[in-house]
Order: sequence, then C-alpha cells, then structure tokens
Amino acid sequence: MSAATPPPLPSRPGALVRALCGPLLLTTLGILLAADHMGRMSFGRTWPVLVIVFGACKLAEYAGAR
Amino acid sequence: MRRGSIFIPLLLIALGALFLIHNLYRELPLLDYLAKYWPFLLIVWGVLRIAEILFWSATNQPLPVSGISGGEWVFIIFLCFFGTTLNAALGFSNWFPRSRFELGGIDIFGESFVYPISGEKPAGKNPRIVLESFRGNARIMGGGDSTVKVTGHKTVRSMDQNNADRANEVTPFEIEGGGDRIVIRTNQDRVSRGQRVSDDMEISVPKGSSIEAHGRSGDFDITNIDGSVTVDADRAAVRLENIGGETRLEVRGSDVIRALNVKGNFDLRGNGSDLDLENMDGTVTIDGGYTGNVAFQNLSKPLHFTGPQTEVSFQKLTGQIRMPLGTFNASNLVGPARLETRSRDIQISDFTNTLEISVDRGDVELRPSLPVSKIDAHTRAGNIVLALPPEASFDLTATTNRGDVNAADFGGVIRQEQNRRGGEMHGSNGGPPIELHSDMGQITVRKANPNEPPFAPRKIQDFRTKGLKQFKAPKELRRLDQ
Repeated sequence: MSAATPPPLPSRPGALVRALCGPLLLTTLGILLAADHMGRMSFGRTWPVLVIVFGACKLAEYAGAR
Repeated sequence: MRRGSIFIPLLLIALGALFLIHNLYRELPLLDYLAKYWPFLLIVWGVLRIAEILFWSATNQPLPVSGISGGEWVFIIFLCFFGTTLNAALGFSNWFPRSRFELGGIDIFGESFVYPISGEKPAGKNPRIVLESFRGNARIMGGGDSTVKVTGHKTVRSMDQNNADRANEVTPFEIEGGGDRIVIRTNQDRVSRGQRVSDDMEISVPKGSSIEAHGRSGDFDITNIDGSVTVDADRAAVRLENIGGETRLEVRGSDVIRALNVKGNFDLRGNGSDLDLENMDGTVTIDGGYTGNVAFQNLSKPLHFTGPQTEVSFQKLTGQIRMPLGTFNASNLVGPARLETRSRDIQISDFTNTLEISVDRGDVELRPSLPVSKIDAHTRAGNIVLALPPEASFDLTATTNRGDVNAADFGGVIRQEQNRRGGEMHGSNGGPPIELHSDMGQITVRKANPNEPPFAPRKIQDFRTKGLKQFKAPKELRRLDQ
C-alpha cells in the first residue's frame, strides 16, 4: 500500500519505525499475556521476547535514521 | 491537527456492549471471559494503531513522535495490573498471591526439582486421617489394610540444586500419630516466600477411615471410604466415589466437583465451575455459585441448592437435572419442589407433587405426570407451556398481561378470554389448583403426547473419565530415580 504513495520526506522512514515501535511492543505484550492466560506458555518464561522486540525496533530506527 | 486514535471510541463501544450483555444475560460468566481474554484488548489496540500509522504514512499525514503516548502507556500498565489481578483472583493462573510471579526474583531461571516421599503408619480400623494444609494433589483410597501408606513426590521450584535440596530438607514429609488419629504433614510453610513446594501423594488408608483434608491448591481424589470426608481448600478439584459417611466440602474456587455413590449427607459450600452429583443417598445442601456444567442424577433425599441467582429445592430425583448456562432441564422430579431464578429457561418433565416456580426472565415448559398436583408458575417475561396428560384433572387459572392464551386441546373444559393486550384462561374438572402467570408472554395449555421424550437427556458425560489430572511422576523424578 505504501508503495503507491507520494515520495516520503527524508526523515520519514525513521519517524515511521519510531512510531511503529510502541504499537508493536503493545501487540507483543498482548500476545504473550494471552498465551499465558490460555495456559500455553508462562509469561514468566516468555517476557524476554519484549526485550528482543524493543531491541529490534531500536535497531530498525537506527538503520532508518542513517 | 491530526485526529486521535480510533481505539478509544471502539473501546468505549465495546465496554458499553459488554455491560449491555451483562445486563441482558446475567448468567453469562462475563467476568470469567474478561479475566481470561483481556490481553486480546492489547493485541487489538496494537494492531489498530499499526494500521493507523501505516495509513497516515501512506497518505503522507504527519506521524506521531511515538506510536503510544506516555499517558497511554500508563493506562496500559493499569490495564495489565487489573487484568492479571482479575485473572489470578478468579483462579485462572497461579500467579500471585498464592505463588510468586516468576518475573521477579530468582525464579526467572528457576526449574523444578523432584524428590520422592513415602511414609507408613499402622492404624486402627476406623482412624481419622488428617492432611494438614498443603499445595499439591492427593489421591486417597480406602482398602483392606490397617495401615496408612503414603507414596508420591515433592516438587521444589528453585534456582539450583543446592537451594532445592535445602528447601527439601526444611520441608520434611511427616506422618504422625497412630491408632485412631493419623496426621500427614508436608511442612511446606517452612520455606521462604520466594520458593514453592508442592506435594503429590497417593495415600492408601483403611476402608473405615474418616478423612479431613486441608489444601491450598490442587486436586483431591477420594475413593472407597466408609467414614466421613471433610475437604477445606482454596482452590481444588474434588472427586469422590463410594463414600459411606457424611461429606462436607468447602472449596473457595473449584474447577470441578464430582461425587458418585455417597451414602451420607452431602454439604458443599464455595464457588466453582462444574458440579456433578450422582447416586446420592443423603440430603444434599449446596450453597454457592457454579458457572459450568451443573448436573444431578438419582438423589434419594432432598436437595437444597442456593446459588447467587438460582434457588432450587425438591424432595427426590429419580431422573436427572442439568443446568447449563441459562437453562434448567429436569426429569423425574419428586416434589414439593421450588425453583426461583432470575434468568433461565425452565423445562421440567415427569414431576409429581407440588411445584412452585418463579422466574424473572425465561420461558417455562412443564409436563407433569399423573396424578397432577398443585402447580404455581410465574414468569415476568417469558412464555409458559403446560402439557397435561389427556386424562388429568385440574383447576386452572392462567393470566398474561401481554400476550396470547391458547388451550385449544382442552376446548370443552377451559374457557379462554382474550382482551386487548393480554388474556385469561379458566377451567376446572375437579383437580388440584394450577396457577400460571406471565407479565409478558404467551401461555399455552395442551395435551401431552405419551411418547414425548423427557427434557433432560438420559446420557450424561462419563463421570469416571472426565476431570482430574492423573498422577504421573515427572521426568525429573524418573531421572533422580536412576
């Protein structure tokens, strides 16, 4: 969908990644908690996924800013 | 200026809808659903926000500096706290306060260590066996021996073997007393709050024993006991089979309570999900809310059930009763019976003796067997259908404030009067009084067909196989044994 849009501003990719970081974290948190409550996987074990997602976001932000 | 997120209005609509459903269907365990499925709110929120941002980006609108604002994170933290607390409070998880949250402290890296336990004591013929408060499962079986014998394993959750060994040492398994009183003690309270110890026990006892068990969480499976049984637990699944004496259960949150072949009186207090009683020879008294499958079959003595929204009592049940969500199906009931409920559809077939029903919201369908006794059925909003045997004698008075009346089958005996909104029916052939009333709903009186099947289905799920977890030694125990 984004391919059909006008050319973005120079800072656009960095801003987009930064804006997406929070919702991505929120969705991951939701999935982990849902998996915990369904009895699939304890949140006590899966919480590092949040750190990984946060790290990945920051990495993408860094790459986008360059 | 950029518009706000679409999530908040959607959340408000969803909240409104939830409260509306709660008001319309009071029996629906909405809080249970909320406690279990609330994380999907976070998922929906996150996905909607991602879609929004992608849309803004695609349409070249200004993007927010951060996808979720500081205020929204505060709200999310509050929501997580509320959700996990609700989830733990309703007993779906073993997070705090009964155990510890694995995120904090050493338990992130902790694992389970398993130690075998065993003990034996000679006992009299009719000893009292006391299980002091513990966490874990107990299977208690009565047998021919005059000894009390315990085998099983203890599970310690700890960071390393040394800590687990220490926890194992400070929580020795003890079996004390002898003769007519034996105490089984797990000493789980002696470990620090951060560690968790649970014991799974198989206990064989003399058949004449009485059992007194106190538990925090876990399953009890008690079979072939001639004496009384008392179980007091915070969270437990309880299965009883072939119990000779009085039974008293107080379980604050139960997944399942099942009792089969209990000779003495049965007294149950607490809250839970499934409840299944079959072949009960004593008086049954139940005080509590059970939101899952509730089923009764073959009760020889009176039952008194007091739930948060439903009260039932009758003298005897030769058929069965099933009370799934929003319904009450019964067959072969012996009265005097009384049923008072806020919101259930009621179907009762083949009942004798007097019956008194009061429903706030729900349809009532009754099919008495001969001889027909006094019936008094009231519903505020719902239809009433009464199917009488063709040869029944009765003295009928039926009124509805809004709705039709119909007794075409008994045209010669029953007189119908339909007014502008409601209607009345009167008719007597010299039988007992039958009074039907609906504030809003149709009333139909018809002749029953002798071949109509009973309302409650004959077959209920296999009592013996559904339910409790089996006692299996975990892998670690097998490893330790080698």
